[in-house]
Amino acid sequence: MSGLGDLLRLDPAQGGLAADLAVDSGVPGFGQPWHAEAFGTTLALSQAGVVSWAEWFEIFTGEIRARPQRPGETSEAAYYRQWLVALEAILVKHSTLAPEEIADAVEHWRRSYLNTPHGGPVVFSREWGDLPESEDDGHDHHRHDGRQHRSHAGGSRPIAVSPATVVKD
Amino acid sequence: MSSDSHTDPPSAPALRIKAIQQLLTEKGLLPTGAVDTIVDAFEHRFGPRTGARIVARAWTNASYRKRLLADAPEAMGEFGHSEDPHIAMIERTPTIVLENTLKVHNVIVCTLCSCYPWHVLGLPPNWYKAAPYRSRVVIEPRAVLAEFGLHVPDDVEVRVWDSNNELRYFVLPLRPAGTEGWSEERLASIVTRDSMIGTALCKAA
Repeated sequence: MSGLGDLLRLDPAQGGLAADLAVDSGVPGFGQPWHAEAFGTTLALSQAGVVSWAEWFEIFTGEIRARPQRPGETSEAAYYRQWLVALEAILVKHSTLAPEEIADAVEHWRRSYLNTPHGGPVVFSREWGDLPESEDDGHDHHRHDGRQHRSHAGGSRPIAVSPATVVKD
Repeated sequence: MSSDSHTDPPSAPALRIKAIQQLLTEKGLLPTGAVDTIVDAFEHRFGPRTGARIVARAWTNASYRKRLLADAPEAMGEFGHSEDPHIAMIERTPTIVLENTLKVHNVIVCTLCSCYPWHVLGLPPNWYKAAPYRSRVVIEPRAVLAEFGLHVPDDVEVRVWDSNNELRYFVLPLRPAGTEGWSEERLASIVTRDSMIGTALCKAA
């Protein structure tokens, strides 16, 4: 495909558009069950009025800019990594959830799995022993630079136009 | 490790979203069944077949086309809304329809993330969400379209539209020659997802 060399130079961490197009199956879906859960949870919280969609957009796009796709990471993996971090960030920002309680619930879920015989239904329980002292979970509570999407005030307009260079009637 | 006495925990992010859901449910903030309903709709209900039916009707029915261009959510709703409030809310997403003509070709993007007309196209392809497309289609739209195999003639203007959290765009592609007299159903069968993004044209198959 023409232009691939230029693309790779511009964007060494990824294969560029050509690589993204090469893996397009034509039927997009959720690559992992947890992708669907993270996506669905965010929409459900927005619909329930727990998070504002405008603020979600700001935090999610801030995360995309702050921590873009990494070498060796697929665009899909990067996207849902950014999505999950943003979801946690918006919930922590408004004290809907505390980082420590999330870390504890993660550990209780992990223990619930480990204490369920293989093949049995895994039920969340906090009864599988005390947790160690809560430590920093490594999630940095980064700030977002607050850059907004372009305003659409004054009507709907294209973001870019490549004019016709030849006029035919 | 593998043993009958335990179940291997899922990946770290999978555990994390389960923990978040658990806490939100305990606090009464996550309505029961809402996540499953929404995910199911994205896996089984929303998809480009809906958009294709809308395009085919706009091609065959001039008054529908006019309504679609004037008030897209209203005209798209003529195909019916889900009775489930979670789904109906998504189906009413504010949307503007951009009509391709012999002089203007429209293409959509979300430069900052992945805003997309889910209710009529389903989930976006990964390339739509990835940095190369998001950044380059604004800077060099004709070169990017050429990489999709779409060579827009020099006498056609290319307009790139940036979707956002408040407004989604949808491209009404040109009806291809050689489809005169076709039924709405047959026309819908040649309307592709990419033609409604603006990275492809419809062809009489």
